[in-house]
Amino acid sequence: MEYVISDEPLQRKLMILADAAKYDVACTSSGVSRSSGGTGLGNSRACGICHSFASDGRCISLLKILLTNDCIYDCKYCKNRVSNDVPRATFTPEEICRLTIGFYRRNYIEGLFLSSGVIKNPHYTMELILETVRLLREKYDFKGYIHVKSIPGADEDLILRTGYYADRMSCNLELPTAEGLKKLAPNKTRQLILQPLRQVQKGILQNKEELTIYRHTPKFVPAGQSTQVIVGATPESDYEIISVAEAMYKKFSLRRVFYSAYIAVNKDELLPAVDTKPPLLREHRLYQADWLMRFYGFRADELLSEQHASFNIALDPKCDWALRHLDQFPVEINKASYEMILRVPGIGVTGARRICRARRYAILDFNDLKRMGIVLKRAMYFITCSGRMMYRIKFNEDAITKNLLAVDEKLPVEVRESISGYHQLSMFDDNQESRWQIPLDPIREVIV
Amino acid sequence: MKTHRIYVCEDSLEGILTAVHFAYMSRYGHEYQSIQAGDYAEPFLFSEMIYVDTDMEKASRVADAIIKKISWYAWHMVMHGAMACDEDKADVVYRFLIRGFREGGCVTEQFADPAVMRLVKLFRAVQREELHVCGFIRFKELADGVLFANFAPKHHQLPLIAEHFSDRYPMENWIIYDERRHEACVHQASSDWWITRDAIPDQRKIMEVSDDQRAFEMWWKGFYDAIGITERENPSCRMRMMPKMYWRNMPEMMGK
Repeated sequence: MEYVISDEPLQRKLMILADAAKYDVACTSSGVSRSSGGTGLGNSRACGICHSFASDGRCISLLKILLTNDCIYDCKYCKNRVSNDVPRATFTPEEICRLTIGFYRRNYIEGLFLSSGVIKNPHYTMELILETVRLLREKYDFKGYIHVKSIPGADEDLILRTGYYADRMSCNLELPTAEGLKKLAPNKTRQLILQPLRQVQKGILQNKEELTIYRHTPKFVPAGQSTQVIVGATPESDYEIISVAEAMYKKFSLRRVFYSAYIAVNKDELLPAVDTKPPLLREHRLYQADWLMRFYGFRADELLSEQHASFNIALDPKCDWALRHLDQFPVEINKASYEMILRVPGIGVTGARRICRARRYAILDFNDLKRMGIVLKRAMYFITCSGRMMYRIKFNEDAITKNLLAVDEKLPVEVRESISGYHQLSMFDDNQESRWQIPLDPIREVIV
Repeated sequence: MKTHRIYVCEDSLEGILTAVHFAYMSRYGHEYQSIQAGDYAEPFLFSEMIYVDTDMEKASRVADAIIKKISWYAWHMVMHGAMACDEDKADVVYRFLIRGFREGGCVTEQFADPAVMRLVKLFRAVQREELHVCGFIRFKELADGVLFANFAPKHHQLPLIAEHFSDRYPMENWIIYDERRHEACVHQASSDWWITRDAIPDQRKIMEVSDDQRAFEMWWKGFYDAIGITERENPSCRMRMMPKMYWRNMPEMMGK
């Protein structure tokens, strides 16, 4: 740690517990819209507001802290495990309230993200969390955003009561599969982690029914639940990870699954070596796939399969899918369904919606698309306007792949070098009129 | 050949709407007229300049007409567009309204039309900055307990963000000061907000902060330094998400 831990007690606690909380990815303040109604402090906007960006480029929207890092568990991947020698600290509920209110008044944050290690036992920890959010809502009349963790193993009643104060609750799966969890987190089981997720899900469903009958029923976890999986600590494939995510979305009606590239903080023979770099590009591809599943109507088994179990690191999942399904392209912009336009690489939800609205009033051509703000550098290989493509190009996988790879996406140096190597090769092959093979599989095998 | 007419109006939503009213009422033909907001305009050769005084009644009649005959969303777009810093915004609004009054509510979906798209672009730019401002504004608590923030947005943001902050801090006395336009939005605890033009804050007074303020600034800085992950450092991403122009007022970015 480069920063100096000061002697001032609250400052010291804040530094320790913010540092301990930083590996939790979720920092969104979205999903709930609420007015202060003219009293108290705070409101919330459904789109969420980012208040700052940390040195790693991640958004800071909430005061993200642990209640305590004095944890009784010994999860191998975690910095705060009981067997590690790190400075320990525990906030009192009043201290957390003071910080939250003070920061919120100055517009530093959108609300509180309260996570925690397990102190004494899960019940005791959950009680402290409940007490904190209760104080914030009732004593300080705080109406900003609150995201809290449900602690696996805590009493159902405590978790449900917390849900009436919080906007979002989450419980981290930590590792994508039950076997991984068993190996690395001896005190937790998959069953134990899924329990609070299930309880809160039931609570939300019940609350929805009540709300249809009584309009003023207090809302229960209005911004839904989320979870997080660590990527790269255990040898699961991308296919397994997105399948788990898909199942979580379906079975537990989660709002978000977050992916966290494993950062080697602990030395252990079961974990990657300490100098391993976090698999950031892999994490990025997982997020791209996650978006495709949530907003673009893709299924996990369309993007990947058992035989084809990891993402192409040189191309984003949507391009990769489109190249493998060229029989469905090119798509006629003026006729195709919204769902099909969404599947065109380079066209997003906003773009597809605009196209579908605008084409009711005019026949669109490429100039119209440009004017509408559709970026054509990827899309132009997959669409036609009134039956014409933008340029005369060879419509086959090789030609399009080559063009797509030329589109600038910031890839790590190793990947870029490996691709540019193939480029030179390909020029040679082109002259020979032989099939230009992009060796995607070797690239896939490069472990990022 | 008719001479081209340019209506020059005050640089405000009301001013632009008044000019739209005059342009419509003249029945001179839309293609021979345009609107300019602000007095930057040099008189053009071969065109007639008409200076329009803002008239609240005419402006509100146009506003009502937009909401009734086009749509609430179109009014939302016009309101944002009129706050943009672009010099041709008044004419963009005018061209949009010509089409809007002809087509009705569906005009906001006709993205292939250049007149519509130009306003959509302005609207998006202003909205994007609005969201930035809502996040990056920093209040400091002055010695007398008033919360004070200053900022210098590109587009005219005060009228757009005032409602958000008055909903957020209903029980606080606060001031947001726009350094570029010398305007201040003042909010009184459990009361209303208003905007004062040509306001210059007392420099001495806004430098005197409360003791709490120093402590919270220090804690916030500490939090900010602790929350970033060293192994994932990415300054260019941060710069893209949080442009440097905002750093000046952020305690966590002091000295970075």
